[in-house]
Amino acid sequence: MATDLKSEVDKTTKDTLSLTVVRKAGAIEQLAHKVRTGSPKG
Amino acid sequence: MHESRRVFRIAGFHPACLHLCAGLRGAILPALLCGLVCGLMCASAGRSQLSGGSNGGQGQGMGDMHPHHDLSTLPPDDLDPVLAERRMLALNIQRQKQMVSDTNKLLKLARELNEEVAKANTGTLTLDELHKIAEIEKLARNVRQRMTESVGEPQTNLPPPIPYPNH
Repeated sequence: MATDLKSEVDKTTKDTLSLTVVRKAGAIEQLAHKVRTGSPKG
Repeated sequence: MHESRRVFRIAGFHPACLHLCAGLRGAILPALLCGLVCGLMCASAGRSQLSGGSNGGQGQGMGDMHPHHDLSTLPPDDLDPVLAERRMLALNIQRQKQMVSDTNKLLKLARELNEEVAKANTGTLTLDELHKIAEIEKLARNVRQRMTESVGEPQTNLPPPIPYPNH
């Protein structure tokens, strides 16, 4: 997941709004929160 | 008491001060203090009127010690559209760089965590691993927020909207 995020971020420029990056970063954030606390976020 | 009030009035003290001080019978000292405060206030007001007045007085006396700068002649940085656009461009570039840097850190931490978990293979997480997971969560949140926020107005080349015809 982190590798996918990195490749997607590398594709973007300063004028790009990438929904793929937003979704992947959100998925990593939720997974990390779930692993850390044992409960899903939100 | 009336005599002292007449003396203070002749000396140029404000009537309000005299009225305030007259309530204290025989209190000469408060009257003197009140007069001193009034005098200082009048002097400072007169000085501020001089410095804020016309430029004819500049170059003489106090004008040399405190040169007056006219703020209206300075270039308004915030109102200049070219400077504002440059600032937005710089902020957008900085945002992109920060996003790439956060993603690199996230990937590095994820690889380290993966190696540590695979090496230990205990089914439990150590404190250091939990810290790394928290850092990964924070970095992912930063990347998501930086991607959704942009500095300045969106650059669109869309034509202006066509008004709906009224019947």
